Amino acid sequence: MSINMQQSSGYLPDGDDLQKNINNRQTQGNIWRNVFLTSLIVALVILVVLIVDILNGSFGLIAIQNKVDPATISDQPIETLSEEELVAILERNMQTSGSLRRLDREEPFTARDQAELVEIVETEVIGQEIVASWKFFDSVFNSAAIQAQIAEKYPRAIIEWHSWISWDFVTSPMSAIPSQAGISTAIMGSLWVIFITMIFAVPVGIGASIYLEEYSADTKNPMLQRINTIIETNINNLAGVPSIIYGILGLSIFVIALAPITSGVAFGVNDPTTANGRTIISAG
Amino acid sequence: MQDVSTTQDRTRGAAVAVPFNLSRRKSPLENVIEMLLFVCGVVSVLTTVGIVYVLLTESLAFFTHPDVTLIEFVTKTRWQPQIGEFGILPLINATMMVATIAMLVSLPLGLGAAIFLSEYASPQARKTLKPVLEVLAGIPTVVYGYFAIGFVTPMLRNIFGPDVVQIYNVAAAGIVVGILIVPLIASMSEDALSSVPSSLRQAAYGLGSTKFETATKIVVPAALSGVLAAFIVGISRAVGETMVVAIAAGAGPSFTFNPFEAAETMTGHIARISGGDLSYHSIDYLSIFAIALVLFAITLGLNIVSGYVVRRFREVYE
Repeated sequence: MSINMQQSSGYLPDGDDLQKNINNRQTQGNIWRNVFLTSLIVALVILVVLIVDILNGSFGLIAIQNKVDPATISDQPIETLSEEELVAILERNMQTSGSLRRLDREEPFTARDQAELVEIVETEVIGQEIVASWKFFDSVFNSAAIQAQIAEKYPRAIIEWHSWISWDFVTSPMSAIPSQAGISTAIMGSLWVIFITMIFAVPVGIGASIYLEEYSADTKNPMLQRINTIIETNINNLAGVPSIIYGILGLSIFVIALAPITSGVAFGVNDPTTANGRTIISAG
Repeated sequence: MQDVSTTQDRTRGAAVAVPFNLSRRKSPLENVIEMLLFVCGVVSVLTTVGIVYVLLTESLAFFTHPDVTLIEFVTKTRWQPQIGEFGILPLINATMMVATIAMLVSLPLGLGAAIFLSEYASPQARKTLKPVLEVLAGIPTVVYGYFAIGFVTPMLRNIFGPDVVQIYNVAAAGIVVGILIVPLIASMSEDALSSVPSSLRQAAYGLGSTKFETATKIVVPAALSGVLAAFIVGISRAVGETMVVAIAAGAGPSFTFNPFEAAETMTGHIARISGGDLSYHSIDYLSIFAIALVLFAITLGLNIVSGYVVRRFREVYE
């Protein structure tokens, strides 16, 4: 840098000085090139880390343990028992809980087939539960330690691979039990919001952009011209308003003031205004 | 003779008038369509009017409440609605800390990536890398929130020790908000940098500049308006970011300058209070509108400044 300063004050390097100057500048240039490259790589690595982190949590080992040892219920494997034996097991083991009567009322045990009864015995009597779970990398690299730890803490537990993302996860509703929880209700909610947003935002957004691009320039009326400028600046500013502000606008106008009309889909109506400004920008 | 000339005039006049007549003779349907499209444009203005009206009336109700004074609102350092203390400073302070940390992360990364993409990368590399970077911008912010709490916070606690770093902390939220803004800044700056005409670069090379000197002394200054606008939009985005701070920064306003402590930002507080089970027209409910008004003013101000910067510092090349 000092050589650059001298340059600007009228000093022109020559010979060795010139070579030194050029070398310095080129080294500096190379260093900075690598700095710029690094920042790009860091940004990309973060993206990879984010995705890997999500995948890491999606798959891995789980330890499943039965609340009741199946051997204490029956000396034969549950799957091989007959229907009468299964019903007997249910009646023996579920006397205390009210769910026996509830299940019977839903559909009498005598009317159910063997596979169904096995399932009920497994969930209601044996009661499988996940006692521990590990992320993917842990599961791969520490599997010996995990086996040892589980063997010590939960001798009856079985360790197996589990994918938290599955068809069941997408299709089942919410649940307080993590292993049975799904996102079907949440997906429906998102789809409704998208649907209602699109109904509102697409016509209005595209309409506004067509108006601004094709019609607003034609007008000779000074009043209209001013309105057009206002609309344009306004749309640019709207796109920068944080979505939480639209959120409380939705809360106060749609949810509270219009509660009688929109009670059903109130939260769906929250969002169209958010998308509105942005759609206009992208369409225009 | 006269007759001829008048007919000529008339025909000429008619010939000239035809295009005007064409544009004037609109079918009624055309007018209806134009009106409809105009209304679409006006809806956006009505949205703004709606926001401002709601924010102002509810804030007015808040400030006229006997428990609240405007002076305490802007000077007090405690925000505890339960005991009637409304000082917005802790919320603003937390917001500013998150925004500052976010900008410390995203400015160098974003600008560096933009300069590399626009000045060094081959066109082929740029074509593939830029969309990849923009994938980052498309990830929902709630995913980033869980990334903050599930990855960045444990990492910080490993580095600095669990005694120093609280489970909910401003630093993790700020870093992740920064990551979230990198693509925005990189993309906007890259657009600005690559719109600088290449004749300027050629001239700089002709004078013996290295690539680095060309980039930092010619291209960046020439694209300064676009780069600055990207920064300001980035700040505005960081101030308005909600999900990440609601998840990772903590749930309880506290006036602290330690980034490893929990503190609640304006957006995080609004999200928590409005999502909770609160009775309408209680003082809690009204207070979120006052916070939202401040937030709206800040982001609107930043947007206006960015628009001004773009106009003021724009270098126009023919």
